[in-house]
Amino acid sequence: MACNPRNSYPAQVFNNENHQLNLYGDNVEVDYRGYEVTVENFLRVLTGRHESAVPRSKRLLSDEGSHILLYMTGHGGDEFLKFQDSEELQSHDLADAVKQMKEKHRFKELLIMVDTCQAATLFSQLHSPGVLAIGSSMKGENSYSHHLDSDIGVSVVDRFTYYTLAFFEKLNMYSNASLNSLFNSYDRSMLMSTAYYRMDLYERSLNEVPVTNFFGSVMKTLHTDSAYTGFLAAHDDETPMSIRDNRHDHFMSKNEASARRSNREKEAQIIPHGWTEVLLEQLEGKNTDTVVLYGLGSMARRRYYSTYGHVATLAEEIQRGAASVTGVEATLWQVPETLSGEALAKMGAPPKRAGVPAIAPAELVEADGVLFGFPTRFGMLPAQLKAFLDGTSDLWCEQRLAGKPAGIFCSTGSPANAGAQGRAARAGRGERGERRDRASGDRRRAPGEERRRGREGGQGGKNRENRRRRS
Amino acid sequence: MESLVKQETQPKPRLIVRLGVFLASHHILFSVICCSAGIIALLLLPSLAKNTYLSENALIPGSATPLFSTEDAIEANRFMKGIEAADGDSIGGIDMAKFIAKQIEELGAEVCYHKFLPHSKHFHPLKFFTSMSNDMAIQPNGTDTNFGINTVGIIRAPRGDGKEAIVLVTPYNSQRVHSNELLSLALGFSVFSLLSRAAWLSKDIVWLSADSQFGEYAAVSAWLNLYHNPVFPSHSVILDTKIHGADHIYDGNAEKAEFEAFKRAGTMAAALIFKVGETRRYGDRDSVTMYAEASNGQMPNLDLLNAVHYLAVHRQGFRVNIAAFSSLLSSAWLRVIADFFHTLGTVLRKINPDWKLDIAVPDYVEGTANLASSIYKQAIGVPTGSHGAFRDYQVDAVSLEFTPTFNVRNENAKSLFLLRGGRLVEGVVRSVNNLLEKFHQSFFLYFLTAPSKFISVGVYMIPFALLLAPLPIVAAALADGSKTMKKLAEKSIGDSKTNGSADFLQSKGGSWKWLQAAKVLLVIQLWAVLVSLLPYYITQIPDATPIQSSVIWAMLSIVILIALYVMSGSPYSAGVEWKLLKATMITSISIGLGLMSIINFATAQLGALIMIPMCLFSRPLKARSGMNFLPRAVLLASNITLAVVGFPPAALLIMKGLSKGSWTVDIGEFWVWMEFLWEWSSATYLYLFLVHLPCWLLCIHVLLHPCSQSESKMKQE
Repeated sequence: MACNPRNSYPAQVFNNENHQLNLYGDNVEVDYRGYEVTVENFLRVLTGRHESAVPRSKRLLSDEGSHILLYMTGHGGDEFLKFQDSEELQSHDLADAVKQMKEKHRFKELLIMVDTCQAATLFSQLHSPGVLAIGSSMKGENSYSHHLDSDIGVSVVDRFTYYTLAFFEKLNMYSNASLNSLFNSYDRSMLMSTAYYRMDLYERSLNEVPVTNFFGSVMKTLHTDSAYTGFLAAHDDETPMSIRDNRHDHFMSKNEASARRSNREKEAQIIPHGWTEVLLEQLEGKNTDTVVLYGLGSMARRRYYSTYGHVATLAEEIQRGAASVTGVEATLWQVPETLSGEALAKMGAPPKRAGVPAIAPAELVEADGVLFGFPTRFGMLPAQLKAFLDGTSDLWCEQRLAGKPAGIFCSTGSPANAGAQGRAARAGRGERGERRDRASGDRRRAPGEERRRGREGGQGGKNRENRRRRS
Repeated sequence: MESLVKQETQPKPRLIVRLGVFLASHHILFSVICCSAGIIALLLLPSLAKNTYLSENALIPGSATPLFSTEDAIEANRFMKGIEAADGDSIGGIDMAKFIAKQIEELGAEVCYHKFLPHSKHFHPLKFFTSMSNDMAIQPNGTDTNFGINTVGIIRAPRGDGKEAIVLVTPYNSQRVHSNELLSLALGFSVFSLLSRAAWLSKDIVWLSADSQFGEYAAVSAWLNLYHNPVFPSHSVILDTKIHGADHIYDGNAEKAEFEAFKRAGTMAAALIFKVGETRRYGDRDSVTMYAEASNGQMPNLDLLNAVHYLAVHRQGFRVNIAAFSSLLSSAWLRVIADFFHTLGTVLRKINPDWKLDIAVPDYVEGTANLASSIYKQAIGVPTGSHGAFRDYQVDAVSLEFTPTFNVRNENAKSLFLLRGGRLVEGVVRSVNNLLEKFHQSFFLYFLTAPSKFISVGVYMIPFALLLAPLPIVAAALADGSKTMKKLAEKSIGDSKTNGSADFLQSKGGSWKWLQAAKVLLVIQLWAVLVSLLPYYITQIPDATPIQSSVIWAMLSIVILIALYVMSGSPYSAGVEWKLLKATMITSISIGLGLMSIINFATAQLGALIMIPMCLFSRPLKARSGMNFLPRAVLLASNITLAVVGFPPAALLIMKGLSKGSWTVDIGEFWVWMEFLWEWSSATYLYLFLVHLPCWLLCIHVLLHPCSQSESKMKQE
């Protein structure tokens, strides 16, 4: 919507006609937009059944500890929600998707908020435990827009959404307002419809659940000592740690699984664990069945170039982390040194680690996945690694490495990346180099954040302008 | 005894067959009921009309505050003064085009000229079935100095994808400019200038100031033709087609020469033609008249009309009109019918409050006048304005004619009018700009009974279906009748074997008698085709007055008919039974009306109204029947009246009388009317000559049937 040519305020979306708050800030990302917003894609995101080429950013990477908020608005009716003009999501489709999510341990608690006409009918078929649902109107009722923005020429916000936003405007980040107070804030005379919530599937008392469990991403984090294995086996070693996420998208659908991964770690030694995880996810995302079926057959390789030994230390940590996962064997290799011994001596470089063999390009083929580690030299990768990569041209000609998951980790001290000492950048297959860090300090984006909001006919993901009246 | 057993073992025929047999045996009653029900349903249509509503949610007309301000109105006034000055020292309207182009260029929009020649009147009876392409391209004719110049301004939507465009058209006569045309040009320019600053455009805006010296339609259709059918002439062809006098528009200026290149924008989403008409001093409010009928009864999507109507009435306070048969408004008999329906409606409402048929008498009269005009204009199949040219390319278009109530010299009133008119046009553009798809939600097949009331296809099909229903039943009854006659003949043969073999053969040939009737039909159809092609040759005669032409046409038609009869034998000489003749007539009219209802429903509707009673109740004037004098006289009189009404020139006269209220007879007028139809390549022309005329002739044949053979047969028995 922000980029729609019909918008009189290019690249801006407002929550009301005062045009004070631009909801489409620089740090907002939209994963699905326009004609990508289909019932099929929606169900795929929920159930996690993606094509292998779908990048991580378009996936909902949640697990059995996740709190998920699903916020849907648009044109609806009795037991359906319109997607674009041609499709509709029916209540039993939604119930089926939620059931699959439950059986695949994709959520712990799911809050579904629906702002359409006859919204309460959409979640009537649900029967999976842990689901809390609220709709803006009962069966036979219309949901109305809050007001018309006569500058833009459309109604920008619906009543239910407007009062939801108004409720959160009054809260601060650390508020412990409960869901009950949110649900009770909906006034029938203001909404011109009856907000109906269904909590027979939800175990906790609404008085005890803070809204921040679903909104604003204020959650406890779990600090794990070893590699994170949440996707493979259910075990938790809890170390509470409070982090916060960006507030700007507090009303979007999102998954709080992020909280389980530390994204503000300072200790360098933790990072390799994180990186193991990422590689494993890559493997998993590519072919989960393979990992399970072939068990010990999986092998991941790490190769690095290190002069002073920083990267070597990183690599060893990564290897340790990866090896702790069943079925994964990690091997360390060095890239052949190109400098003469004399030069190295003059640079005061410590001797190379013994016991780590130098690699030949052909050996890459044997690995199921590859992680490259290297320091930066003036913001670039070292010539040694470049020389090694140049040596892989034969493999490239035959495309023998195609399809292998790969990642990089690096140690840097050059000014271009100041403050990111020991920080690992990564580039996953299929999303190489496209990843942006969202906010300073966030090492990487909370995985699986699902930034999908009001899906309106034809205008897709970013459309936050809700129609005057839906029928 | 045996036969009795056989009958018992035979299964009972299915219900539908028995129903058919039952209806066929009462076919006269059935057809009387159906015909009268059809006519009553037709008269009921105004009270069945529904209020229009916007189906397309994306249009949201009037939800944005109009940006057209008094400054834009001042801009329009400035433009008007400028163009008046340009018109003053103009030769052939070229300075006006230059002035407009300069103004557009100053706005930063793209501009180009489009030169065109008037397309000559051609007789294309079959053009309806062929494509529209290239018949209006400029002919390589070096001597023609008479050409029109359209000025086209294009705003590219700053953030749009350039795939779609909205077209605004303001026609003006460059040779003789009226002040109201200047006003419409100024209105067009001020809206265009506003849109060039708009931040919300997703579709390109094309402003065509159409030079209407050869008619609005010619200018717009020539432009559209070039827009949709790009020509890539070689250099020599360009030199050949160089129009004399066109050169001095470019003063050797390289920048100006750029204007000559034809420029295009995206696919047209919708077109709005607006012009300011003559000042009329009735009514307290300025009014807008909507014209929508395109060729062959095609209408733009109702949503476009709804958006215009909504904005004009509820936002800008215009009175919106549609064309009406004003003579009907004051007719006494219509008032009687309206009274009748009103009382009927109130009675029905007492029975069931859900039946809302009790429409007020003035509403009914107005609705009928509008409906009659709507049906008539669709039935003629000739576009009511330049929007028709857009419809040929599947673009939804509507013409708006503003009728101001102030004097054009009154500056204050003029500014106010410009403000409201500009806001209306801006609102419509913004509404269409909101569309994501083509217009597809609302109706394409409808009649209007008021600017905000319509009759959808589902409702107006009913009278037609009722009129058409008795045709197969009557045909079946006639076939059955001829069978029983044959049985009678066989019986007579069985009774008296003394008869000659020739007689026997004749009766045996009876089952193939329809072949002769079909032959008659074929001959008449051939005649009709020849008659419909005659105007092509008659137009070649130089300096013929319409009266001469029509007389020649009539004489030639009669001569051809006689010649065909001489060649193939008189229809009566072969001894065709009148019942078979009537059956073939019914077959041909059913096929013809069925086909025509697909091409142009309104024509089929009107045709059915005239033809079907004529066909159903036709019987030979000489036929003997067991009826009393009075019913027989009524039948005869009605037969003759219907036959007279069914004759196309007579039908035309009635139409004219109804629409204009003048009942003078002019033979030449028929020729003019036909010329009008074929010039616009209307399918109605084909209908008149390939369906209506042959059926009428067959009907005359039935009426004049001698009936001698059947009588002689009866005598033999």
